[in-house]
Parts: sequence; C-alpha cells; structure tokens
Amino acid sequence: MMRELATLMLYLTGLILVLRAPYALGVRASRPGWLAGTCGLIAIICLGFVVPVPTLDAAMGSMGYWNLLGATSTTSAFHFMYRAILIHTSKDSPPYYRRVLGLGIITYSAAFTMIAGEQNRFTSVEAFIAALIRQPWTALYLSVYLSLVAIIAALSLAAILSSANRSKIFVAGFSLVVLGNAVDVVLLWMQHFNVVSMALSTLLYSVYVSAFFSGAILLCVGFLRGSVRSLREFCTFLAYALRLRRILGRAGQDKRPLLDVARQPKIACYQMLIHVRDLVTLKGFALNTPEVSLTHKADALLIDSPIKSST
Amino acid sequence: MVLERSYEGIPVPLSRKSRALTSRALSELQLEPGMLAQDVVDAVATVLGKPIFLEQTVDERFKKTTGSFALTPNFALIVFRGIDPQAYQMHSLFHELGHLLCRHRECSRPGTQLETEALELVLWSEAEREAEFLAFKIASLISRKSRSIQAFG
Repeated sequence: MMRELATLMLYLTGLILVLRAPYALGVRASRPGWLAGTCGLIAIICLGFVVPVPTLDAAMGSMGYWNLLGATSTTSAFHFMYRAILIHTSKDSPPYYRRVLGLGIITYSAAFTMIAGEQNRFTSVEAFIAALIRQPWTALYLSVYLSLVAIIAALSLAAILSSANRSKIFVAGFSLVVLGNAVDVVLLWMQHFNVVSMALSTLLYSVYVSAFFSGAILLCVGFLRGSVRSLREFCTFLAYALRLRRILGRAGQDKRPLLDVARQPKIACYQMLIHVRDLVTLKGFALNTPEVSLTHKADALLIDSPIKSST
Repeated sequence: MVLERSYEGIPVPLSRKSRALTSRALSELQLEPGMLAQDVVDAVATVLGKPIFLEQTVDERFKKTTGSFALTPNFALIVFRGIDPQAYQMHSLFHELGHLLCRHRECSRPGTQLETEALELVLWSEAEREAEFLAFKIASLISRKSRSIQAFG
C-alpha cells in the first residue's frame, strides 16, 4: 500500500513543482508552498520506490545517509507548508519555533549517526526499521523526527483552526498527519521494547501509513487547488489580452510588449480593454462582430474576477 | 515639459511633475488588494474630507460624456455614463477620483467621437494624463492578490 500511496504523492509533488514554479519565481509569498512540494518530492524519492535505495545511497557516498536525507526533506517540507499556512492565515510562528526546529533536526541527525550497523545494506525504510529498531539510537532518531513533523503539522492545524477561513482539506490533512505520526512513534517504542505482537504491529503500521499518506495527499491537493485556479485564470487572461493586443495592432496603436502582457495578463487585459473602448468611442474605430463579442466577454471577466465593483 | 515613458506598466506617459503629484496623491490613500470600487470612493472621500456621491446615468445630457465631477463646499459628485461596459464605467469613476485626488477643477476628457484625428493631443492634457494614470494605478493596486491568497495561488 505504501508504494501506491507514495507513487501518487510523487505525481502530486511533481505537479506542485512544475505548476507553481513560474508563480513562485515572481511572487515571494508563494515560495514556501513551492519549496514544500520540492522537499516533499525529495522525501518521496528517498523512500526508494522511484530511485532504488542502493542507487541513492551510492550517490551519497554509500554512507547510508539516504534515510537521513528523507527525514530532513520531510521535516523541511512540513516546515515550508507551515510557513505557507502562516502567510495564508496572516499569523506569526510561536516564539522559539525556529530554535525547536533546529534543535530537533540536530538531535535526530546526531542520533542517526550513532546508529550502529551497515545502513547501506538496506533497500527500504521498513527493512532499516525492522533490523535496527532494537537500538535505542534508532528509536530515538525515528521518534524525534516523527514527533517534530507531528508538532509542525499540529502548529499548522492550530493556525488554520484559529483563522477565519478554515480550509476543510487542510484541517483533515494536518489532522491525519498528526494522528499517523503519533501512532508510529508509539509503535516504534513498542517495537523497541518488544512489547507488541506481529499482528498489532502490522495493524498499527497500516494505520500510520494510511493516515500519514492520506493526510499528505490531501495537503498536496489543497496546495495544488490554488495553483490550478491561478494557472487557469492566468491562461484565460493571457488569451484575452493577446486578442485585445491584436485589435490594438489593427488600429495602428503601439502594441504592449509581450513580456508585459505575459507578466500581468489580467492588468494588461484591463488596460487594453479601456484603450479599445476609447478608440471606439473617441475615434469611431469599428470592431467586427467577434471583436465586439470579445470586448463584452473581457468586460464580464474583469468585473467578475479580479476587479470587483459594488457601484 | 519632458514626458517620460509610462512607468510601472501603466500605459500613460507622465511628466516628472505629474509623476510626483500622482505619487503623492496615491500615498494619501491606503489601497489594499481586494478593495471594492466603493472602498476606493470612501478612501478618497476621507482624503478630501467630504462625502462623494456617485451617479450612474443614462441621461441624454450625459450621452456625450464618459464621466464628470462637481466639487461643492460640502460634497463631491461624480457622474459616469451607464451605457458603457462595466469595466469602462469603473475606469471612468477612478478617472474622476484621480481628478479629485490631484485637486483638479474639472475633467475635460471628451466622451464622444472626436472631429480631429489627434486623439492623444486632445485627450491627454496634463491634468487628464494624471487622472488617467491614477485610474489605471488604482485598478491595478486593488486587483492585486492579497499576500494570504498568494501563499496558495
């Protein structure tokens, strides 16, 4: 099941990486969301389903650090998600957040380096846990990492719950991540002390995988929803702006630079619509039927979507 | 008068003097992304220190005018032509607000077909360019996405 869910996550984070890239380059506030997707993608790659773990490990000097890279990428992904949520909800992070985050990463990285055993011989996270969970450093490494992710997810959840517009998809996503990680931390210590049966262990692990990945998938969908909406709006206005630009060209007017139009198609569309209308009103410039229809549609679009009027 | 090319993507060339005047006028307003046209009217009314009344009209007397304003000691009145497309009506409103912000006495922008071909010369006196620049600027400032929306969009 983990393979299927991770594959779906891979596609979703890949989409975030591609869809949000143009926007993230120009708009500072959208960068944490994009970085969250990028770190998430690295974390999923480190699960070993796409690039086999031995290959990943070889690329990192065969030191077994693929596991730590996966943990740090996951932590960073949730950290950037939290930053995006803080921007979305116009809130600040609690005091000492950065220190706790830094301390957590240092703690689990240090614990990881204390784990004895040839980590480069493992081909998956599950195999690594099964073989080394009896070592206290392994239990400490995994539980600090999973707890840190759960804490960041819980902070994100709290920020959303205390904001005016609670997004159900984010509430569900972060709740499931917190639940999944909490279950896995308990399971890891039970496995460490050998106080869990195989059947219960399998059940709890399934609960963790289902909850964590469902939550992460919901979060990806939540992030993508805004990107898709933005991209659709961008493309619509770009199409209208380019057509209005052609009409102005026919009227012998200076054409707006294409780069300006592509950078802010909504504003360009508005400005060119006003110019076309000025030409029609003041210069008697005649529009053909498709052009008239275009100006009507552009007008309706501008009033409906970006430029609201209550008058 | 030295005319500069349009700046910040606004397709209206302005002189340095007009640029300074419009920048000062804009700085008096606290425009936020997502504001409605009425919010902008209220903001300008606060700057002016008197209420602004709006009238959207299809009156025959206004057939030849896209918009106009009148300033009285107690209030300001803005009239704009109701037969225009909505975006254009809003632009006319913002254009008149631009005049008020620049403390102009009147709007000389014609609203019907010109007899001369020299559109730019007739249409864009310095005062008209200032008002037109502010109209475009106001529209682009309020139609920006707010920072909270930018996080996911």
